[in-house]
Amino acid sequence: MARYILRRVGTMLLALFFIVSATFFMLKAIPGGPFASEKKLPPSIEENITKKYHLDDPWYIQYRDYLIRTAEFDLGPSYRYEGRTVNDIIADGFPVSAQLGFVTVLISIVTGISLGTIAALNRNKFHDYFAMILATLGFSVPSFIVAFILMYIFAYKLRLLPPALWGTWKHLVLPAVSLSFVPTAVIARLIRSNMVEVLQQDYIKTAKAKGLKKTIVIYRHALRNAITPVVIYLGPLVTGIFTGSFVIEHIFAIPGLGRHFVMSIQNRDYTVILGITVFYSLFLMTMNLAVDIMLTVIDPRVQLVDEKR
Amino acid sequence: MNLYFLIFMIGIALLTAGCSQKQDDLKNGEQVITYNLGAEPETLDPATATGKAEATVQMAVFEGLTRLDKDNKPVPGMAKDWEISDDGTRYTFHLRDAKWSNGEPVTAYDFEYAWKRLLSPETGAYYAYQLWYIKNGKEYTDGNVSADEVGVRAIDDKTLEVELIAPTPYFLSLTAFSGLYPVNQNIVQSNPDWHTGVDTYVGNGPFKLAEWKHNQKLVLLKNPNYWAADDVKLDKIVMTMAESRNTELTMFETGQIDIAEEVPAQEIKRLLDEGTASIHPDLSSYFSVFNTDNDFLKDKRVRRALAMAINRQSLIDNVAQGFQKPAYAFVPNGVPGINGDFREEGGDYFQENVERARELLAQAGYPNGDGAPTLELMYDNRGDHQKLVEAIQEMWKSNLNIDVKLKKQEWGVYLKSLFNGDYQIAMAGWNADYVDAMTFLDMWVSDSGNNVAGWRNSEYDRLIEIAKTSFDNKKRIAAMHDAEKILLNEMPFMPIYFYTNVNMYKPWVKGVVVPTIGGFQEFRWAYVEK
Amino acid sequence: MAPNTPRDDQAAQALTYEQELFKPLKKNNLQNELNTTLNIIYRQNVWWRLKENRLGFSALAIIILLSILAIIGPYLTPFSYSGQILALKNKAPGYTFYLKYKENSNGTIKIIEYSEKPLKNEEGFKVEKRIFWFGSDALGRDLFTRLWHGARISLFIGIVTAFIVFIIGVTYGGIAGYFGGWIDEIMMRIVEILAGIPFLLYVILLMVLLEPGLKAILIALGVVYWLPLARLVRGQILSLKEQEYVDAARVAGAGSWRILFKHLLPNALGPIIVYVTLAIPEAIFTEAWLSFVGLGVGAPIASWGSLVKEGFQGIGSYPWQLFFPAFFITLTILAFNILGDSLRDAFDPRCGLPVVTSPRSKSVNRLTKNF
Repeated sequence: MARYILRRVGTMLLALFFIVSATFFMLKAIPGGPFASEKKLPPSIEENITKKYHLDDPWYIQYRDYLIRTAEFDLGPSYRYEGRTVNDIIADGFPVSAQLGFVTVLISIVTGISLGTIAALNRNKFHDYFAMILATLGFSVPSFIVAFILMYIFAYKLRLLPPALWGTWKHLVLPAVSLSFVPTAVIARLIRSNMVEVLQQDYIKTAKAKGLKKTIVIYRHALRNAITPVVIYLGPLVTGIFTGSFVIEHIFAIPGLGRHFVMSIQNRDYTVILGITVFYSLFLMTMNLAVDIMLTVIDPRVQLVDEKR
Repeated sequence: MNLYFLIFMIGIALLTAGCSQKQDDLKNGEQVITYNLGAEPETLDPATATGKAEATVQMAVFEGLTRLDKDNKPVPGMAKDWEISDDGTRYTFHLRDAKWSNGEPVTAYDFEYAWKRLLSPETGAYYAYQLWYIKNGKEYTDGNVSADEVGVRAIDDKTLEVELIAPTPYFLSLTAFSGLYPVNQNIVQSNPDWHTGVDTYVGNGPFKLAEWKHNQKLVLLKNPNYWAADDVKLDKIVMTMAESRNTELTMFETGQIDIAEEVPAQEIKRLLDEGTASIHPDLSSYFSVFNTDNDFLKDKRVRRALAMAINRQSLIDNVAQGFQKPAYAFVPNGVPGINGDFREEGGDYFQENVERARELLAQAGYPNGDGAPTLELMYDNRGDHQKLVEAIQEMWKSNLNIDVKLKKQEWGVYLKSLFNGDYQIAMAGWNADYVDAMTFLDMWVSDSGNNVAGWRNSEYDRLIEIAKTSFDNKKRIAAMHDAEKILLNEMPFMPIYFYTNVNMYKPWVKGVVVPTIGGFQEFRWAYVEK
Repeated sequence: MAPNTPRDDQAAQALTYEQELFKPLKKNNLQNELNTTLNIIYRQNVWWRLKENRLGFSALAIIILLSILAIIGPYLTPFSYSGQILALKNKAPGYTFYLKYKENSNGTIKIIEYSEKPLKNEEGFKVEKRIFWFGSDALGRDLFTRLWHGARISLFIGIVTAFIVFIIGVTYGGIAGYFGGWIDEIMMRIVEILAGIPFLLYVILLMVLLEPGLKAILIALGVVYWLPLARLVRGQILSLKEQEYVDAARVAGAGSWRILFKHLLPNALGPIIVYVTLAIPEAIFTEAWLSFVGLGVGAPIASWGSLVKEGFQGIGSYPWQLFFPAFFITLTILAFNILGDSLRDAFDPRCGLPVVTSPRSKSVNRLTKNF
């Protein structure tokens, strides 16, 4: 186990190095710079600005400096937000995205499991079709359309919830629900297919034969065994949502990390792009590892072995 | 499993129950305006800030030697009065007794420090060129002279002397511009990150920064130390940072904010009908620039034909929908001429005329568009160009039988193509830096970095040089009129319209001024009346 | 999910028969015939199971219908997708008007007059009654025509992306899985590293680098979507190649490439088809997202994504401009997703278990659309 984890961490670091390098050179290849604007600056001013941000250094110096700083967990200063570092930006944005993500995950798990169970228990009946169409629909509507419809109904028409901004739990509802559509759908489908499988197993028949109540059979035996794939799915789900969703944060004006995703590229804020890439990749890989370890705890049948051997 | 679902539904019901939108900010008769800034300010340091959001905040927190009133005229701000030498190159400002928001007095030394800081090569200020009118200003930025030789000097605590290279009639209004605001020398020198913290962000304007939650909210409170604090009625300004225009509109319509800007074009008609939107002219020009190095476009007749073959009013009525003003020249209305308005004195320099356009095209060797190459019209993905370029494309096709290919580029890529001359026709805009025709006209001189058309005209250069150095205002403006005439005769670009700002105000919001430069919201005189 | 069955190298060793004991036949007719028959039965079974699945079958029907409409839709109206009548902008669905026009010699038409009331015909002119079935857009273009034109673009993006993904993913995964050893090791490490990249960020970077447009979208999507498929194919090949019929083929003298492409890949085809089917809506979806961010296809081409974006700009005043494209894009993605699910069920009679893609690789893929 320890060796396995060590090896995974090793791969992670290697991957991180490649990702940082690839992103760095890709950014160098993209035209434009953080200080370009529709008004061309006099050359001396442009020079002063590039000098101030060390953008006049040769690429290998910049690359070396960036690698060293990243290794020290210092993601550098933002080129666009003066006086703020990328670490600051992540420290400001991540908790917000995480809070939103937590609520989203909660909603998704509860509704997803409910829908999936209903469907599995009523396989090929109306309930099943209805739940699965609903789930697939959630999977199929682009999130910005969902967000806008929800905003239109609950904020504009009914005036029940604020349309945007951040602060109280009221502000959380619309974005969290919009974000939860896709994960809910995925979880519902996973639960359904696994439940169907599990319900055909002998131990369920045994449990039924023992005369256990239907609800107990479902909760104690079927659901618990059907839940494993959901745990696997939680890794990427949590990363994706916690690190923020650009469109949702953009539409609901939420001060999370996702907003920087597209903005920083548009702004050519190199350090922010790189920093977010590093942060996201690290988070993703750590979550995957965590899920794999968690699996051994939940499901004793799973052993951690390298895929290759 | 139904239980789960039930719990969830109950939860949602509970969450949504009893949360009616209350505007509790307005209790106790407090004067509060909530305004959507639209973006997180990149910096609040007056020397390095560039954007609109930044300028809006700074305008509330700082005050320059002058301040622009609602007619865009400079009125005394930090300077209570001033003298201008007869040749118009030496300004002596007398400061009033004013205080920083931390109680320290505002001195002429603060101004001298701030201006030299703007110019200094170490600051790397984008807007350093706004002070290049000062003697040795450019030389200092270029690193050729020391700070001591720059033509700005504090004589004593209350007297500031400025030496200009040439008489600059708009210099007074320039001093109202954010780059020329004073900064508190003690604070700035002791803490380089002074502009990031609420405690150290010391200003001298009508408001002071009370809270700044990044990407979320910025709160300004009335500054009791402002010299005219008695005259400032607003107690508090809350600024939000929603970027999406659709969201902003919904926020306005549901009462989350009191002011909304940049109304989506397609919604303007409805909102005007409802009476909530208002139109504000803006000192900026929208145009298509021609790459005159292109074989087809290097012919003046072709450029003129293209310019005459589009219907600007139709573009405005049907596409832009913001009651922009069709442009038949480059300098928009609202800058001073010899006696009245520069634009009205100059008039229109051409008319739309499809027949005449076809004749010109035929003269150039392309009767009925035959033999003309397929043109490439470049636009960026940031602005609202798409529908406009589609409409222009259709107009050129049906009026001149010229095929146009549309080329959308990502903003940064677009800028690179534009400045490298790697395009044929590009959509572009230009906004004024100060209230004078020169801010528009000097972009087309031969050595201007912004002259992306590749168009050179020595007569034009000569006239602009005269205007820049002339001591006689009449002669100066006459030269600029002549220059504009050449420009519109040659047409290295095709004017389309002069911009407007479409804003929305709740009926109780009063006294907010929208300057024609930048289209900010100026809250100095604003108040709430319910 | 349990990890893949550990490959027992020693067992594999044992299976490398002493070649001289077996003389390769020139051609194994019998084996081929058997394969073909089995294949037909298998395919028929899949088709039959798909037909039995009412939901899946209706999804297929919807897709076929949408495809037909994408082909003929633009011809159902007299409008062109780019022809503008500015004065007739933002008209509501069902808006009827009369158009008087002249046909030019070069086939273009010149509009003389339009009115809501019938117009009189004159010599040399034509008068037609026209209807904006789905209303008109901000430039007075017929939304119905534009919608089906957009369907072409969106479906094209979906299908071509799926094809690119299919080619890259199957080749890469197939080679890694079949050859194994250090080749597999290196190839899978690369996949692992690539999988750690925030995929959407890369799509955006690629779009910026390649200039927004159809080509860029295809490349950007193709480049990132093959990863899960490569993993899937590798896994399939890894288990399939231990099967006896592979040994039989090898004994029969088939070369590595022949075994890989003739024997292994066809047998792994079920899950691959399902993945590729699901990649289509994914690509359509991502294109819509890119359009929303301002990096979609450029004018005058319209995809459903760009139509949705345009619709957004006037949602308060002209809601139908958003409704129609949003509805059809959702319907299409829904239909493809349901079809993908049904295919999965049809290929895998055990019905259900997500054998097609490991849930992780799939969900990583899925999640991205939240951004």
